[in-house]
Amino acid sequence: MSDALDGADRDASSTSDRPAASSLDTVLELERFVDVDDDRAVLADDYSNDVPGSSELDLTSKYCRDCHVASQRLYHVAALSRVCERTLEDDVGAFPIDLIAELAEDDDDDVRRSVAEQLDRFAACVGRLSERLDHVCAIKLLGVTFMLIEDDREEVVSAAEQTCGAVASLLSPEKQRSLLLPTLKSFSESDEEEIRMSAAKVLGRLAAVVGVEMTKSDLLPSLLNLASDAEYRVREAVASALSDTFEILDANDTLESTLPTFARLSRDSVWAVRATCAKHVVQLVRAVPTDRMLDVASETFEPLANDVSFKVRTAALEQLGQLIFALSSVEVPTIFVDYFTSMAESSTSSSALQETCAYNLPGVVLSLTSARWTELRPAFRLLAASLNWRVRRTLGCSLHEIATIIGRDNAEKDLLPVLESFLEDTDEVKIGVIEHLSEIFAVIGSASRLSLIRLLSTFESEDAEKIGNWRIRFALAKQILPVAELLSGAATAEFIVPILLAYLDDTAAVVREKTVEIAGRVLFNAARELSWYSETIVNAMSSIKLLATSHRWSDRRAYINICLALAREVEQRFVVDELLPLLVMLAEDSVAAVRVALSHFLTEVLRLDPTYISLPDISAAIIILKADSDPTVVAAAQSMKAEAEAKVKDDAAFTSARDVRFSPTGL
Amino acid sequence: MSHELDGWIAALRKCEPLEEDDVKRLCQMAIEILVEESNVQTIDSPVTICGDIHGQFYDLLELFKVGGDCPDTNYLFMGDFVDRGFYSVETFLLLLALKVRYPDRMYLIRGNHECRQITQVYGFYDECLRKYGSVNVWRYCTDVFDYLSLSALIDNKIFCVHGGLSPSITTIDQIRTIDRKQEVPHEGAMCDLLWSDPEDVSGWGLSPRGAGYLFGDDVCTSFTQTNSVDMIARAHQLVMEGYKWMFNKRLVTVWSAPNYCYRCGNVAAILELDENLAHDFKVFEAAPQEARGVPAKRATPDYFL
Amino acid sequence: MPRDDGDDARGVIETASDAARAKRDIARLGYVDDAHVEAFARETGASGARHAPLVHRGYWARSTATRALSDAFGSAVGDGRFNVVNVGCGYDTIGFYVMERWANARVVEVDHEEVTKERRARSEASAGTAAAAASEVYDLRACDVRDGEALARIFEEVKLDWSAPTLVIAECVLAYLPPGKSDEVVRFFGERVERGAFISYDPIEPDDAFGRQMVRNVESRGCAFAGIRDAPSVAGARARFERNAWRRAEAYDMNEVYARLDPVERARIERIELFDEFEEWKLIMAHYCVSVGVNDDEGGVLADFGLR
Repeated sequence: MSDALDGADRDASSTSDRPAASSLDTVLELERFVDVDDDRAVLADDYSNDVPGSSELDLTSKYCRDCHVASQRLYHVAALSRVCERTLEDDVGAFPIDLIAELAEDDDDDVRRSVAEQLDRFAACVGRLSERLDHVCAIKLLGVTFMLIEDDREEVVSAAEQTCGAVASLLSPEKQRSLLLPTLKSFSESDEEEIRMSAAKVLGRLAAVVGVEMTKSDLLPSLLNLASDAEYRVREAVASALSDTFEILDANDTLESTLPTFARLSRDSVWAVRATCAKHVVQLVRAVPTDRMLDVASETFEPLANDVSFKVRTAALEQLGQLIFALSSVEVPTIFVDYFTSMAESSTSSSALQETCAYNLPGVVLSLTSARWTELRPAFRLLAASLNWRVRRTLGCSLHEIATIIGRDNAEKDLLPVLESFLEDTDEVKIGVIEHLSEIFAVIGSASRLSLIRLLSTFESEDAEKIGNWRIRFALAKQILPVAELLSGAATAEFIVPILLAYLDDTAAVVREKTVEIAGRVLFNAARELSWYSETIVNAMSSIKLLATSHRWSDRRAYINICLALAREVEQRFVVDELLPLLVMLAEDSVAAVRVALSHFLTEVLRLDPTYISLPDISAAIIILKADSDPTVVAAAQSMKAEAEAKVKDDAAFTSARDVRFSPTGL
Repeated sequence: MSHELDGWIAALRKCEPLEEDDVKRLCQMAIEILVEESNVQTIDSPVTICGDIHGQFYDLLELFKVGGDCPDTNYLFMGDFVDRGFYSVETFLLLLALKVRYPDRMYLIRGNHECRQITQVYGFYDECLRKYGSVNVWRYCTDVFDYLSLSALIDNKIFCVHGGLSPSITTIDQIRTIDRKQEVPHEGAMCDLLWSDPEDVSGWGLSPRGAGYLFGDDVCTSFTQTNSVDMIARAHQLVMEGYKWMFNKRLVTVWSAPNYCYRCGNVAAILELDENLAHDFKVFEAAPQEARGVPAKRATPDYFL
Repeated sequence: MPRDDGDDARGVIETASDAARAKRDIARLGYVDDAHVEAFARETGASGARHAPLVHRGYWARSTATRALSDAFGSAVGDGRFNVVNVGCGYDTIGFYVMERWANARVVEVDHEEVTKERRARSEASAGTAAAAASEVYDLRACDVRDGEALARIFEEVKLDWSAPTLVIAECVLAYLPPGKSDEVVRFFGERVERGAFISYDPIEPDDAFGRQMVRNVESRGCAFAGIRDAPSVAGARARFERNAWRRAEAYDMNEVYARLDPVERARIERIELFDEFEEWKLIMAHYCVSVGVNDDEGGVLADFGLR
């Protein structure tokens, strides 16, 4: 394979960066890589050593142990739980618990992490296999889980913390008592900070698994103990874990057993612990009795919102929207609204916080109801004026929701100006508004709709070959029909039709196609009000007919598809007089895609109204298409109804294709 | 059969890889079709010509949004479907499935990355291993590569090839005599066609790539005149503006992988030819972040840090 | 205690690991000889996928340039004592490289506490590296480079003799600093080094298409090139030295530097891996530069020192 280079032609020293021979040698060396014995080889195992008749599980187990290429081995480790699910019968002995235990101690971090991530699926397998929940497998799996929780690598530990609940749920309550609790207790008393942290996290997670009683009698005491740990990271973990218990305990228990500790942690000397508490205030408020919600919210939230630490204040404010929403069944005090407004102010708050504020605004408006909209108007205005496009975009995406809640009058007064300015904003902001245009239209009155629609005529496609942001035009194309349905025929003709015609010529295919899809309906609706003979409609139809003779095949195809949409709405007479003449001409178009489209058109109109077949133009076109040289055209033509076919055959007996003359064209 | 194919195409359009057995069948079906094709595949206009894709699946979807879907629009892809991007598997299999489903609407010719050696270094091999846990899929695909046509001729007027010209080739008929069903050789006509680059030199020059040659305006003109073609369309070289004319518009490079390797910041282009061979370039950018999937591999491209 | 000033250097600190891994890979592939790098690069299993050959070549170029310049410095001043200060040393092995070649060298390496702690721990993994790290002419100190006072204290603590010739190395460090900070760092050394040089390797050209994408990409990875505009071009890199107490300066982009490295070595490493990334290579190498500032007497031993 290695012909020597012709030295005369390729002088390796001619240019300084000329690796003439090098690429060749490299390429030759790579060929030797095929030999798996070469220890520089990075090629993977190729399974030629597989013993025939091995089960899928056997094979996967072998690959998990033997593959020497890391990414290949990882694939099989990650597939292990799926293989178990697929292949295990009732014979629990075959569950590969020993392999799993081995892999949980593997040198490769990713392998151990993958095992940790699959613990819940392994647990589900074991659970399905046997009624006896105290089976040895379950216990061994629990051992593996605890081992992974004590791993060095954080990713492995957190994956195990997430899935340990599923493993614990395999055990009977007695086994949980006898196996889980002692281990957790010893974890919570460990000398190592990381292990105590894990203990806290797991204690919280298991609350849902062991149920209320055991949570109160065993998990909670350990957790509350750890709340006084010397290391702040353990206390931080406790703050999170407590919120897991909120869901299990009843409201009064939460109030009495956990709230005091939580409150203490929210005043912790280390900011990180306070910040974590801030993140869980909403869950706390939801968990206490309804008549105490407001008190608890004020007592925990306000100090955190005024904390000395910027990070704590931010963490608290990030929850404010949800908090207000949680309090919607009670009267939300003005002070909370003031805090919310402060989030919208860019001078005092970070842009991330402003974004959160914008994101939560609809929910907050909903909670406060439109009666209190005036209290939120300042926040709204601040957000709309933000210098950060992400904030404006987030706001723009939810204007329609806010409009629906606050009603027409408020929407027209307060939202409309912002909407108009967003339509002239950067692309990312514009598109958020355009995508929901018709929903906004539905709320506002017709005068406002008109003023908005005038702005849209700036969205013409660009002439330049560069596509620009076709996504905006596509978003608007999707809105054309629903918006037109909310406008008068005259407004549609004046403002929507020009956009339609411009988009039929758009540089991006997907914009043109969407427009073609809806063009027929839009014109039909407008014409129904104004008549087909009004000037704008006539001009529009004229432009559309020009498509049929365009030099671009995609335009000619577009003509056919627009006619199809119209044919579904208008009378046959209209189709025959206005559309058909140009259509049948396309039966002999030079481009197959156009003829295919025509075949589909004919199939569809015949389905709608079989009497079309009696038109000589139509049957002549069908004959031509069925004899087409392109198989796709013929196939499309074949799918016409049998009756139509029979009729065609009859006609063909009398008429030869060559003698057919098309009726004189109309307009 | 086409029902099954439609299922594969639908899955691939959502960037879901196929089962290994389905890949095997798809590749077998593809080989049956490709084996019938000539080294110089004849194509009738209208057709849209595309350059390198390099596994940038979401940008391929962007390309279809701009240029229209297959089979409505006819396409010619000039090779380098795999390597570098995160989705070589899905990219190649989608194009292949479209080829099998619509053999007269989708044309694929071979690029220099459609070979065993380079794909072991530049990502396709690793990706197959990561997604399938075995080398089989890589093997099936590289077998298909051997059957890909080397070039195309549109309406006998536009010659399309991945790289460029060869000193061993003066006429298009000579290309037809090559035995292409093999791994891309290290030298010779077949290698040159997939590796050469146009350059402002006179005659032929040594290529820094270590394979193929540099060829100048005089070589290009001589080729087009001898073979009565109007121009050469090719890919192979990154072009920041998406496309680039050379040699008095006798040669154009089309590059269809925007923001190449997720770091070059370039735009991409496709060349639309209508039934009269009038041409129209569409330039497009990479799909925005929201439109892209999350690859399993580390997402940020390599810089020196 | 966790920092509560809204600042997160985590992403930048992790770049040390990225660089270490790349340098280990090129050592394993045979691009460079480096006895110490194995200890420093952590094994990352399957997710530590192989880099493209372009990345290997680029790291080789950067390492080789730094080594070549340190060799040149050692040759010029090595008959007497001299200092090498490695700022933002990460897991680089250039310090050990210098110590092994020059008996008169004294090496001080500085980086964030997290990095130095980890580096000390990893040094234990190899006897050779541990021995080098324990040498009396070697000092590793924790310091946030952004804090000028802390930096000054470090050098007092290790009793660095500023009157001896001093080579300062900042390999891909200055660009991570907040805008304006790099000037302070360059000036800090410019004012103290009477005879010596400062070698810096940095990203440049943030405003063309590739550069904008680069800036965006590293930012989304958490290690933004915050200070890249302090020296946004080859000319800018030179100017940064000239306005901050360095008498003369030169700078070249990496395409130029690569062309000036030993052609025999270049030819050797180009054969190690199949390479098909020429356009991107030129692009990316045009977006990094090596710049050198020199302080010396007229006609001093460093008159010819620089990028040949």
